[in-house]
Amino acid sequence: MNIDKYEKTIQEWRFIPMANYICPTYKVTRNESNSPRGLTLLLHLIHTKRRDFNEVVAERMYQCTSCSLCTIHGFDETDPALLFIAARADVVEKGLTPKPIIKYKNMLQRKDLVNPKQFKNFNKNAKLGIYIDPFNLNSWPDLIDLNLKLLDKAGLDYSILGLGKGSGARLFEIGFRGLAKDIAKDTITNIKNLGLETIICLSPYDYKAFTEWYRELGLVFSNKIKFVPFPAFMLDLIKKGNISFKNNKHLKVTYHDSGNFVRAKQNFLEIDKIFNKIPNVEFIPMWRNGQKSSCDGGDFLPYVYPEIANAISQKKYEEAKETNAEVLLTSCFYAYDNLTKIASKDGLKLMDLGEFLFNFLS
Amino acid sequence: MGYAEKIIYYELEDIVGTNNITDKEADLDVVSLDVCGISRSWIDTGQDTIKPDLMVFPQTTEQISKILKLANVYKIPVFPRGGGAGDTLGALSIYGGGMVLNMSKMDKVVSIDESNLSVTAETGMLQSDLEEALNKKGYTLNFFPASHYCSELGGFIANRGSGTLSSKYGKIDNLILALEVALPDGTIFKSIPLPDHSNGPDLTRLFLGSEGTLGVVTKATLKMFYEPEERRFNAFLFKSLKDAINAGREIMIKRLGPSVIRVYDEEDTKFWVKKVWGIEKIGSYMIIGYDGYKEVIDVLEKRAIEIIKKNGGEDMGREAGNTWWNNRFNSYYPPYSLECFQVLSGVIDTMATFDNILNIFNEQKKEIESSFKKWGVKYMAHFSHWYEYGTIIYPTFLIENPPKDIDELLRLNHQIWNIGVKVSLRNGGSINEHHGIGFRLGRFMKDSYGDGFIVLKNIKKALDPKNIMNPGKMGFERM
Repeated sequence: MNIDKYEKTIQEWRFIPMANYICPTYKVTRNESNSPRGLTLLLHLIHTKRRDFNEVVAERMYQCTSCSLCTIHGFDETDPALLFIAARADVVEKGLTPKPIIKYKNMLQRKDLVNPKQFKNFNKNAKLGIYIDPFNLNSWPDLIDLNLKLLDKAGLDYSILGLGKGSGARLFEIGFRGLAKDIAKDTITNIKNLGLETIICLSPYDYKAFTEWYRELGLVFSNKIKFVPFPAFMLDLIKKGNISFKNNKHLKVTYHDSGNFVRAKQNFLEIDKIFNKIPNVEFIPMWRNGQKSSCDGGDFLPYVYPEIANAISQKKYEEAKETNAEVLLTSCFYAYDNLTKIASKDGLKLMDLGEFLFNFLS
Repeated sequence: MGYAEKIIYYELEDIVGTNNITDKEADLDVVSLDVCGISRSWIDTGQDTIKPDLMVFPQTTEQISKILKLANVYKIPVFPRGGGAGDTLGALSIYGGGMVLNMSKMDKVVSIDESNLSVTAETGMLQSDLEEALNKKGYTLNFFPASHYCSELGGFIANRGSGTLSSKYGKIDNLILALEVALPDGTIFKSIPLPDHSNGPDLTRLFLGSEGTLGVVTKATLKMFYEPEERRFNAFLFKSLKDAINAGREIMIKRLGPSVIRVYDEEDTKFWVKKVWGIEKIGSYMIIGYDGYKEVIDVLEKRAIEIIKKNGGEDMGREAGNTWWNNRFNSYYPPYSLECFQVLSGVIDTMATFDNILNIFNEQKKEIESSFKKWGVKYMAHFSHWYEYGTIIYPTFLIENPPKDIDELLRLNHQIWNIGVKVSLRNGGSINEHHGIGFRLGRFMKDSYGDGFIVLKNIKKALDPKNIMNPGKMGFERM
């Protein structure tokens, strides 16, 4: 079984309830079988052959958002969030995949995703690539356009990557390891052939896949390639003076840290430094921010268990409102999507970080 | 499921709604244990879980009242459960079957009274959520138990829990102003919200520590505090445990008001203090804390440090003290937590007056370590809740070479507890200080209360004639 590889994680977490308090799904369902301890205990019973996977266990594994909030509470390399992803691979292999997940997988594999914007494609001389999730591009073409214009403004040459099948990150996350691995192999070859040195990740999920999940599939990139979260790259451009901002009106903003940027092993935790460089912008962090930033509902959960996902998004939105900021920013398009559904009913303005920065370009 | 069981299920569904009831094996498996070493050892030695029949998630006191009325009709044992972090098998369906009354969806702050500095909350609130809700407004409960991040308010009330800063702020008892309780027959009892009244006995206190045997505590009103202007800690090292205990005793009896004193015996200093906080010292380690207005605590702390130094305490500095405070929860996460390992361990925490406490420590250590040498039973302790008349020992025993056979292991565990608790009782100690009695320690209740146990038994009979509420716990009869 895929979970066998994570025996140490099972052993260490099977009885530990101390991360339940922050688990977004458990905080909604309040069912312990949705908590990090509950999930691990169920997998312990399966690992020791006292139980087998069944529809209920499968459902519980997919109700986890994979936000990794549990993982950051440990003090060693064990990773319960990754264990639950491995369990999904077992669920898939046993033919127990919940129907909504199959539907979602099919949606990810759609071949009719239209690229509504014509972007310049590969620039042979560029050493810089920007990786764009095709699903994001299809959903938010104008926002992605603004993100790219920031790079144009900085005078950078870059290639656009990922427009075909994407990175396979989300297929990996929902347990389709074989499919994810095939895509990952192609991605690694393509990137290698382009001779790129730095790849900016617009999607936190792609970043997580490139820096951690591919390794779980037994695949590695060349050490020479550096992956950078989009906000980290922006900060770098700001520090180098490649882009600068002007603003006359006082504006209070808060920011939703994406889990896969702030809880990755090589994480980005300096968002405040970006806001410090925009005149008259006051950054008010949420109660939980940085590594402990609460989940917004995740990428696949809204499609498969919308009631749970919406309740999680609602909590996140309320947390943002508590700051009394005028604008809620995020650099994750899935979060943007999740929070838009909630924000549309209320007054807090939601913006993508790239869109926001573009508005203040000097 | 037979027809009768189906009808009961449907009736419960009518009360709480379809999404708030489950009889799925996976959901019941995970509520078949708590953090007690015994329930963990069932899992680790391949025993099957002892499961309830079903679990309900009520969302209002009225729903609980209806559930209890129904339980009386069908004689269904009811096991209230919070965060599942109990250490005594107290919330488990120990004989199998019955209904888990999961309180976790009763998780709201009802009101915050800023005039009188109190908060009313539903008892399914995670302690950390309640504290966070108050912190956002500049208040605190000053109640920081080890299970802050996994236990619910109701769990602390049920077991009379203690927080880390108990020396200044007391146990949960000291914070409680009023309770709302669904009694076993479904009556909703609201205590007089003024604890200092003289309208007869204080019935609020009756339910503190009743572990779900006398009803279900559904709401609680607690004192809250302004966040302290300053909170500080210091660490000291003593040559011997005795010196450290003497210093702590003098500080408490002179009413110098520390927020916390923690004293580690030589073994605990060697093992935990090094392992978790990276401080490697030989001797007996003490942490002492103060909080409040700076000018006030400056004076009190100065006096306390004079006492510490008089007893030979070497100043390890504020950084060492603050390191403990800032990292105090680390030992409950992987890889440090004892729960990560396949070892049977337990904590025999007991309360005693200052003149008895060291006798209990010495006798427990000697008897436990010498009686079970074959199994490598190790005993180490710290003294972590100090009051004006005494303190607690928080001993941990570890079985380093446990018997492979589960029956032998459980027998050994039983014998260790027998020795530990009997030593406490014969030296004037309590069965337990803040984990409660549950099933694990129920057999000692008669020894502790003597003939007086009849008072508790009669209260139980009067309130719960059909014995539906958490039967078989606290030394009461099984159903």
